[in-house]
Amino acid sequence: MRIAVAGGKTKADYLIRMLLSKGHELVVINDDREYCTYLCQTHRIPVIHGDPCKLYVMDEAGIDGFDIMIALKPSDADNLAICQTAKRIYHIRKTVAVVGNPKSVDIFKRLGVSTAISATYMIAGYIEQMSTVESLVNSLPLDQGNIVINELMINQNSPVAGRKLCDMELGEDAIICCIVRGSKIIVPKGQTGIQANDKLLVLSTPDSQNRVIGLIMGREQA
Amino acid sequence: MWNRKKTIIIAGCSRFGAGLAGELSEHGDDVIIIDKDNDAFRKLPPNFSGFQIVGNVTDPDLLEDAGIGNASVVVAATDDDNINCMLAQMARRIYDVGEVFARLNDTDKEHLIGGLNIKAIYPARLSIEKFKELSSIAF
Amino acid sequence: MENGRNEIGGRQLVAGYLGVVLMLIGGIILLPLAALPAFWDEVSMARYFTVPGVAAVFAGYVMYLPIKGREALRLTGHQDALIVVLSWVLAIVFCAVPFMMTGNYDFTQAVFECTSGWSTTGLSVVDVTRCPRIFLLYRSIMLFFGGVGLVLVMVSVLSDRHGMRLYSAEGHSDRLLPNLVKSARMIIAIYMGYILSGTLLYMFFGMDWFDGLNHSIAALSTGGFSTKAESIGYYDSLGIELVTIVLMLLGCTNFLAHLFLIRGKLKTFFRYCEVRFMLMICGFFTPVMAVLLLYAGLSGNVGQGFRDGLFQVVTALTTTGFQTVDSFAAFSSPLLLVMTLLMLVGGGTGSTAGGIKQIRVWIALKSLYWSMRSRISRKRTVYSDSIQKLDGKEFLTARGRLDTLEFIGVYLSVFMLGTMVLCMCGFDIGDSMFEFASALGTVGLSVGITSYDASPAVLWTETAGMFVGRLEIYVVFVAAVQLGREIKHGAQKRGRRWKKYAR
Repeated sequence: MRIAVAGGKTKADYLIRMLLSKGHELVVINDDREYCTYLCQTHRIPVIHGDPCKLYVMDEAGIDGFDIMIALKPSDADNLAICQTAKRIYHIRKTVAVVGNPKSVDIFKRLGVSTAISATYMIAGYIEQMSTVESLVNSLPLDQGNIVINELMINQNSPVAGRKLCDMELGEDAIICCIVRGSKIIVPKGQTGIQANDKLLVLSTPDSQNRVIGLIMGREQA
Repeated sequence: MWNRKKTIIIAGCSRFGAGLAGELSEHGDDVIIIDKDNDAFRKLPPNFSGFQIVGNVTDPDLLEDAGIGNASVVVAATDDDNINCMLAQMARRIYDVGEVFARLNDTDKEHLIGGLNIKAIYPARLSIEKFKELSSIAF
Repeated sequence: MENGRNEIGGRQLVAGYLGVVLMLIGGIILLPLAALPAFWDEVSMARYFTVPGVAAVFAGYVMYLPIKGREALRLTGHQDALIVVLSWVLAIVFCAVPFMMTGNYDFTQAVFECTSGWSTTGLSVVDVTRCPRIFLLYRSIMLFFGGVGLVLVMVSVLSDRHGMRLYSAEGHSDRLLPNLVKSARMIIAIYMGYILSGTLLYMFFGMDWFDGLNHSIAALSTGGFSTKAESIGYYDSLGIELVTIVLMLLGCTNFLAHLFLIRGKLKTFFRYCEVRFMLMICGFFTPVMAVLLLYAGLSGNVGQGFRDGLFQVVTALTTTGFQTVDSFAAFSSPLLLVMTLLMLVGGGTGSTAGGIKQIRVWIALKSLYWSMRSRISRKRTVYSDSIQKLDGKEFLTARGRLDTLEFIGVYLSVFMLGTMVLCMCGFDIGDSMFEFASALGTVGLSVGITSYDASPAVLWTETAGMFVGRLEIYVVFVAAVQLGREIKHGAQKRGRRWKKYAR
């Protein structure tokens, strides 16, 4: 796919690497001359130096008809302007913006940006999860923190080892969506049993997370 | 007689914002002015009798506390065109404010607010018009 | 000083504004006549009000004419302070005329009574047992307008470009609504609402409508003029005392806080530093007073001690001036000291009360605490020093703290000066401090120094104290300096004109 990346610093660098490794075609627009030079030397992609918010800079980038525009500038309003311009003038259908304020996510969607990601909020949430929950449990917040996916390692001492799914009472707010046994991935049904050394993927709401982890692991995790 | 006065939210205490706030306040309207920097309010004239709020003008919580739901007019008067566009669009599409004005330095930004009935004010263009009016050069 | 054909500035503008104020004052003087049908036997006194009232309206109109319909220019220098102070002087002087016309009061006494009314003090030279009801009502009317502020009333009826400056010069700093006229009207509406409720409550507890209305106005304006010589003590009713306490506390609360209270935001209201400070002081000093009263033999039993203690604490702190004890002259030294301290602290800022004001005292006390703490704490710890206001925490700067302490310094200096004058008039130091704290803080409690027979020196000292206290000292000083400059400027111009003619 043809992707344009506007603005950003460290985020841009890693993103570009990942996208290039998947084989996408990239154009980068950035207003920091030194950074542009660095990018140009590190990756072999067209780099345009200039303020991505300006029309004449975008013109020179030649992004008409691209598939995706990713806006990574620090200011939410700038990213909105970039995405909307990309959509209306350069006919780029999918626009992705990084926003600082989590409340802007909803607003961006209503104003026509395909996806808005509140990076700081997600990172904070993830750090909080990783710091306060013990090592046998990994958690990731999704959908702006409305759902949490938990990765739980089952050992012999867990109360659920050797039990069937239908015997467990997880309640309304949680579900075991996947069991990883060795190298096999099992989508569990009611009669599926859980064995020691299984890895369970459990979807739950943040409120029921502690209770569910307690039920499965045998002890409340903080 | 009763309520022909309007509630006006001005975002950005620039010279334009401050001056406008002063005149509207004197005219008897309810004026609420927002700026991210407390010192900017020093530009307000002494006859200003409305509310001053410090904060980010594109923060929806701040706008709701300021009463954007009841506002009849919103003026985006910050020095940053992109912020003005974002606020103008929020005011129109999300909060359905009656009259929305945006001060824009760059005429190229026109397409961002097109189709939404946002009234744009281009200081550069107005200055050029004034120049043509005052000068003796035949255009 | 006319600049351009339709623009007015400088002295003509000041005179014009004073003309408008004078018309308003005339209207206020005529107000008591509206209640005349209720006591028609006093109709012979009507002319005491009609003559000065109509004269004021007429004179005001004449002064206003030159600026009518013309664009107002800027007010230069501190002309706004000058307008505010001169407005108050005009109000007092014109309102004194009805008293003088009765023949019972000379200029000094009439001006004293009116200053007491407008500044919502409540010290009086009038014998209420023999005073006609129309005059009692007239005093309450002065309390009403003095409580909210003459300029505030003016601003609520006319919308004008200098309104905000004059409003700020009179000492109002809170904005209830994002519009000056609406804010002013809302304050008046809240005030009238409380007065009406107060009147009804008093009537419920047994007062007649006239006494109820007058006491309600006096309580909410924290004035304290009573229609009875023994003040609230006359009724000896717990119900009436409690109603009075509530009204006094409401009267000394900031108007913006009232808006929060009325809108149901109780948590914010009770978190406000002034409300909490006020409750703390009442809570602490009531038992102290009760003990002192019992010890001095002024209260019969513990219950009576607490009842008297609470009432007296509240009346002093809120700077109202009602009393339920027979006489302060019988108070022992510790009692006088406690009362004097409470009178110095005063009520809340942006209310009808006087004194140094609770928020300033709170900031000063907190400042001392922060200062002590910084002496004992480790160097690198960071503190955020703040006070809780209605719109959130305010973080005090060094400048802010200094301004507060400076004001307290100035206030106490004026207090000392006034006390000294009273001492030189022959009164003992404890009594002088009490009386002058009462005047400066616009309280109204008296140990007996103030009376119909008091010497002019005493009355003028107290008049000055009440006037300066109501306008919070600085404005009066600034206005005086501005007046001096105007006169000097005028004399210089005249001097130059003479020189031109002499050539």
